[in-house]
Amino acid sequence: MKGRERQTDNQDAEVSRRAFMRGAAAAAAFTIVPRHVLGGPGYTPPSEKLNIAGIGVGGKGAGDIGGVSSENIVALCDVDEEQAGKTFEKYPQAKKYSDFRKMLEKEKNIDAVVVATPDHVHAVASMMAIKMGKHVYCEKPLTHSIYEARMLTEAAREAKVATQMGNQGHSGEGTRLICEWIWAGAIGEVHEVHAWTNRPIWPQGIDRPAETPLVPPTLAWDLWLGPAPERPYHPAYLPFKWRGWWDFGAGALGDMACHIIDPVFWSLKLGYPKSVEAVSTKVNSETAPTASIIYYEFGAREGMPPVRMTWYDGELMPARPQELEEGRMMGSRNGGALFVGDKGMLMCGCYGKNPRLIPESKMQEFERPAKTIPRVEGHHQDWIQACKGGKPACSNFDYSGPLTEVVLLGNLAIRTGKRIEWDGENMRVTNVPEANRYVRREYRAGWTL
Amino acid sequence: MNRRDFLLSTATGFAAFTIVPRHVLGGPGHTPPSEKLNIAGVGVGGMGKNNLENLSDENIVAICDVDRKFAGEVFEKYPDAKKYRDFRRMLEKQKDIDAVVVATPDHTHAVISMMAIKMGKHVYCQKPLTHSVYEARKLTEAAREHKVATQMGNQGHSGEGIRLICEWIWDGAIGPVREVHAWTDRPVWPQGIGRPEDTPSVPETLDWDLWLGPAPDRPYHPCYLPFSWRAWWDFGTGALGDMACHIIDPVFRALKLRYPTSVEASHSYDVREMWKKVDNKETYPRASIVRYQFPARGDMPAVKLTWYDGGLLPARPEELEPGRQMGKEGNGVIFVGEKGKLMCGCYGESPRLIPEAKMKEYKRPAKTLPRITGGVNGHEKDWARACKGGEPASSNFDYSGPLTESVVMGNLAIRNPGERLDWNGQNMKVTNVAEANEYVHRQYREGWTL
Repeated sequence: MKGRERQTDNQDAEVSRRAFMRGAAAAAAFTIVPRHVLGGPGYTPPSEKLNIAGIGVGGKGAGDIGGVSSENIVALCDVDEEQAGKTFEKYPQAKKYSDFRKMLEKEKNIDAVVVATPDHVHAVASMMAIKMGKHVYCEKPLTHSIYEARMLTEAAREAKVATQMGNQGHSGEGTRLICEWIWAGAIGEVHEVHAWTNRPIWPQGIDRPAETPLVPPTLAWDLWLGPAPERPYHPAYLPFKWRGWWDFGAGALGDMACHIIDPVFWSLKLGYPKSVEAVSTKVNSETAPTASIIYYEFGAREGMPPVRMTWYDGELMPARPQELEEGRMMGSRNGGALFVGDKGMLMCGCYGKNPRLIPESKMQEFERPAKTIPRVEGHHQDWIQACKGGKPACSNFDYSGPLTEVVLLGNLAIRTGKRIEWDGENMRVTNVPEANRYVRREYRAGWTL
Repeated sequence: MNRRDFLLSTATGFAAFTIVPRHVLGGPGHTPPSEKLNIAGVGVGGMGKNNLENLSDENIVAICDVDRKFAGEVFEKYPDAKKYRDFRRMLEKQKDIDAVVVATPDHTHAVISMMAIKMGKHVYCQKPLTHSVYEARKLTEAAREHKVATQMGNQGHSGEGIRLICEWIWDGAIGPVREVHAWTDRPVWPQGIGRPEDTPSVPETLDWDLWLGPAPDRPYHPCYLPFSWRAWWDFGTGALGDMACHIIDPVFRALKLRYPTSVEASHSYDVREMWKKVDNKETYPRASIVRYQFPARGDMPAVKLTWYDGGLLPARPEELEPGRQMGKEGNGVIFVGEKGKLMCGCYGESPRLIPEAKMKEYKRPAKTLPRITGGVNGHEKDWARACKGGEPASSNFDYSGPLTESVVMGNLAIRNPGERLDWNGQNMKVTNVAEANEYVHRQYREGWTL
């Protein structure tokens, strides 16, 4: 028997069930117990299924819903019937919505939501769910602005819901090996890191289109815009191409840095940078540039020295290290990271995959330390277990919120065009006051965080 | 000895030469240093116009341009000069030319300069000296063989800044230098674009076939000229070719660089449709980074030189005070020494040790390098003096040929991004990626030779 069938008519029971799950999410370790042990109706023990709703289910959301389909998919929300069509068909029992606000108000049985809308809607959708006590899995970057990331992280902590950002590499073996090796001193102290991506693979560096084609009948344009400023519909924005537009996406950096910088952030325990500086092809007020380099400087942390991290996108690359044998690829197709330590170098692909000390002879010589970091069985499952009272998911917002803030700070630097000094705690640029307007954005009337 | 022979031998023959009035040497057929040169300009609509103005003390006897409209103003300015479209005809027909100023698009520099050199004429040629590495080498060798006076149009080389940089670095002001960053805000013309499909008719004021010169045939289009030819592989050398002969010049001279041992590049791509990067083999990219590795030279250590264009820049050095401009107006160089940093603008302008406190403290060494009268504005005249038997001009091809080779070989790396190309400078060969050698030398259109 499924939880939602039991509870559809019993709001109180639903609340107490969710309250249970909330509490369980906060418990540090939790063994899965069969339902009959806890007994009684109105509870969903860890062995039971969650009721999950998807918000934005056409693109990456389709994959995310697939990733949580071990649970009950009770509701699906998308503003674009055509883009979401396949997912809608795949889950005939799920109720269909175009407005997540209506869905969350109406469907009382939802335990958890998966948010995979364009970036500009992440925060408002996730925040509403969190405030209603629902667990949230949200795609990367967690939010569109630094302020939103901070607010969402704090709200999730307060509401004690289980969270996970969709940087699935964080659940991978590679990211863990990198941490273990670096913490074991495999390359000594790290003063310099380079990280890069081949993105964007969508148009950037362009201006707002002048023509105003009709909105397709399958699209709720006003809802697609959500909290973003009003503008006429154009196919230049969707699907997927919204990534390039400042009002909707976060550029190549926002798309990929939450994956590529993730192992750097974790292994080097980065936190907030002291300063950020960006250089790029022509910057305009509409789209992110075609290619950029971002220079981050982090102070000393927990026995680790200050480190300079340089981000490259649009196919720009750091210098090929002498240590890398001829013919060997730098990173992987989507990007990679290079850690430069005072005793060696470590290279990995996107998502922290395939980490290697370079040259390969160093890798062969290396005595690997014990695998001390717990391994995870899939990024979605990790979150589901957290929702059911397991340990917090590995990329819960306490981790991924600050990571997102650091990533998005790069966009602030791109748009500011000056080296900025950053007071991370207070989310403030201290030396270029006008840059602070990019910390937080105004929402369209009718939308709040 | 005829007049040109005299000028030829004096250009290299005498180390120091005092200007003597004509009557001392006497007789017709001689042009003593006090006499005027007969100069021909080839490509006069753009930079050539300024070059000729700075040589207005000499006789401008002939002017050649394939674009009557673009050159119109200059054609009018020198009513006594004979006008030509085809430099080959000009050089064949007009026997009184002593020296030639070449300021055409890059792809015709070498063929014009070479013809003039082989006829024993002195040559002032705009930067980059040539379109390809091979052309630069051949031109340098030919100029040496024919003992003509040469100068490349990197006028900063005659300036005060580059001399100060050399003197300070040789004085150990910043210690041994292992890292240099150089950048430009160019291109300011469209790059990263594909070949146009429309074929407008050629303006009647333009000789398109001659404009193409040795480049492969293609239909006329206004996107190529004036000036925006810089973007196109067949004609220009991109932002790097346009600006590096100025910006890297003080690096090349102060650090006594010659050929790099390797070069690698990465660059931006345009994306117009999802998942489709425009792999553009027509124009240079919008933005690129070129990383040169130079070996140790004498007592100077190996050095990495990184070039940035299209808005890309090195990280701002912490030594640079807040609010202070990095470089100058979008271009610049930072020398990173063991003991400090030196920053300058384009053309080696305004060199400063940074932070400014270091500059103030610094005891400047004696100015031991000879200065050029008129500085950057005396660059053409420096060449004219060389033509008349003075010392070789400051940026003669023995210097500017290798500089150009190192600059334009960066484009081999831009053509092959992500590969580190190992370079045998002596043999002009990429040794580890055979196909990268394709652009060491360009194929000429039939009827054109070097």
